[in-house]
Amino acid sequence: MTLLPPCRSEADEPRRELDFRQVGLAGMRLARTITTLSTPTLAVLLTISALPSRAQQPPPSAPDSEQLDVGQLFATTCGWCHSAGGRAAGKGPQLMDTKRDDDFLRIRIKNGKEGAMPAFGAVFNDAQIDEIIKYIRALKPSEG
Amino acid sequence: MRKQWLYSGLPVLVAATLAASAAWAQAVDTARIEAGGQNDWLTYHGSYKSYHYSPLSQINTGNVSNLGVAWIHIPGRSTRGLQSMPLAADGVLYYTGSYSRTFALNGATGEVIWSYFPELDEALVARQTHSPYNRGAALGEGKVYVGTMDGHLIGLDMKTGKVMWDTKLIDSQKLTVGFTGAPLYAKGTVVIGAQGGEWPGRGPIFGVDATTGKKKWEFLTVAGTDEAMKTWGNDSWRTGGGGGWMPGTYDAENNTILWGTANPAPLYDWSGADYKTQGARPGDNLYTTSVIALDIDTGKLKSYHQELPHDAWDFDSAVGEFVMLERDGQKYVVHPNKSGYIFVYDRNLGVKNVWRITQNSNFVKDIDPKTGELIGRRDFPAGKVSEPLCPHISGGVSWNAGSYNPKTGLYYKLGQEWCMTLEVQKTTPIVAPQAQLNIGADFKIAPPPGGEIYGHLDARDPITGAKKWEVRFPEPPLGSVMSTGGNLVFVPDSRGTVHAYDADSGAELWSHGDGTGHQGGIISYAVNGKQYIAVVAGFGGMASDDYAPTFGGVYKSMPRDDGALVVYSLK
Repeated sequence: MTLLPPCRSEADEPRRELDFRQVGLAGMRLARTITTLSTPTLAVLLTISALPSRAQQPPPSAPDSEQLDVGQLFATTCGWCHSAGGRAAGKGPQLMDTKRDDDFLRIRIKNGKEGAMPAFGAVFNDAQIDEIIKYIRALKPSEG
Repeated sequence: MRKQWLYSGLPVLVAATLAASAAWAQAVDTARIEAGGQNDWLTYHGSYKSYHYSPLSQINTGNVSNLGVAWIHIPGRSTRGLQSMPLAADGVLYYTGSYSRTFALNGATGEVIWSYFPELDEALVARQTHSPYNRGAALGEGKVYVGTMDGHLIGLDMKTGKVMWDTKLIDSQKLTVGFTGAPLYAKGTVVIGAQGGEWPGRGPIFGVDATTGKKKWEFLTVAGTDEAMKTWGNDSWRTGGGGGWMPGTYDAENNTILWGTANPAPLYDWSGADYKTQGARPGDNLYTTSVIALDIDTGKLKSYHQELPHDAWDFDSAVGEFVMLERDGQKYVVHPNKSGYIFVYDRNLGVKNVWRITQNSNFVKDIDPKTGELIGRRDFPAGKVSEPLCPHISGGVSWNAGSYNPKTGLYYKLGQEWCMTLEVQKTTPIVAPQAQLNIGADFKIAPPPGGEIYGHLDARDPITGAKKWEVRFPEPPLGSVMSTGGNLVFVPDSRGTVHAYDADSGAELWSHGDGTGHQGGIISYAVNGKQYIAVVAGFGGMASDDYAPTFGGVYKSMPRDDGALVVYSLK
């Protein structure tokens, strides 16, 4: 059973009041260009612009079927924090022999952790995240 | 949490103070920043001379023991701590926190005059690795300028915090990077450089019209000229890097801005010795890991020096200090490279000397002090690197600044002693932002051969590097240093203590705990004849995140999502 939602959805966002002060700049920029629209339309647009919505942006290219070379991924990205290809603690925890279950790893990879780990949910699909988890489970101390 | 978007109820006291000072207070302009006024701190580096020095001497070696907290300010939401350099003009302190939260405070009391929290693209920020900290603002022409993680540069009215203009300069959604560094204001232009070193992209630096917010020019630090394009074999400019993520300075005599650029990607190349023809990015990779002089009006390159041709170690030139000196009729510019080598140039960026602040350094055998040429460089093929690489990826010096004191003639600068084990990986080129970074190796922090990790404050001659004294710290301090006309040197350290040293001897005269580690700026200013010292406290980020697993102790419980501005004065 998945204890947490598989990824953050807009429904989880706290409802925001329609207030220029809160909508802020992005909304105001938008507002300047849509002053001729009806009030309800304006309200909808401003509400959308105030949400940190992933749906507005197409995810960066990650070919669905492409096999992920997770070793390379650690050498380019993950390894800055998960040292020695995930074998040692660095800025982030050691991943080799982690006691965390697959669901935890999947959710953490997707959503990240504010101020500590970026969210990769827009970068990798589920199959690719499974590959990453498989790599983590197979980690052994490096030789020499 | 409800956001207070704008609060402009100007306290009566401040109004009175401003009215009283109106007789002498002029607009913050190029001439005033150049002069680096006694009571103010008008630009990131103090003045265009980049001294990080305050001539104020009310607080001095004789009375510093009476220094105590005058007021503090909590900016909130300090994810990855506070990393910015406060500014002060005419009794008002301006500073930024994470997510580019910007504040104007009464410099004497800390009372909020106005605050401004930009509405950022939060989903984008959650995808970013080098985020959401902000390293400061710029002042000029009645405005406060601040960059954002989602690619905007914003001009705020200095008196009210009202948005005067908001310009989107880069497509952060596409590139995943934005602006963390402070802008520089000079001669009607606001200059800001993008992040870049670890990402595909061409590391732009922008010149923006201070009045209108309109982009005037853009310089690409990756293959920005035909000459530079030839230094990226196999079209490797597409893997990019570069950028200029810390503010440089303005040289009025030459009408140029001096800027340091970041490293190429991937950080570590598997080329081996044949880096000119082999590996991920064959060639010198201009203008990465370079200091560049750009015409402030046009953004055209006037001169440059590449400190590390084909940087294969992530020892970039992004440090923004350009210490402008004159000695025996000669004009010099001193610029620290991240490796711990300090370059001394003439004003056209011709090499005059090179000296080193670190003890542990082996990425090259040496750098020729006459020519700046690297001697005995270590270029790794793919595979495990046998001897640990020194310094560590966090550098022989931090991106934070040292301080030059014109009274003592000494340059006070922190050095860092640490190394790393490394296994270089041959990777396929990353030409589109996908999973953020492009490192090219697995690595782990390591102590220097036969010793422990430590940091040190050095007092040195800025041109020859001759050392007068040194103070050691068990963990490298990461914050900026400030010296003052009171013959003091202030160092905010990583454990959370601010130290004051005698500028001549290095004797510690005072210290005080700020409750959390430092990794940002420290300034001094005066209001109504009273001197204050302002320092930002708050830990977290690419270098400081290594401290808990490496050193344990106080770092284990040190927050990485908290911070405060602490302001001191004599009791």
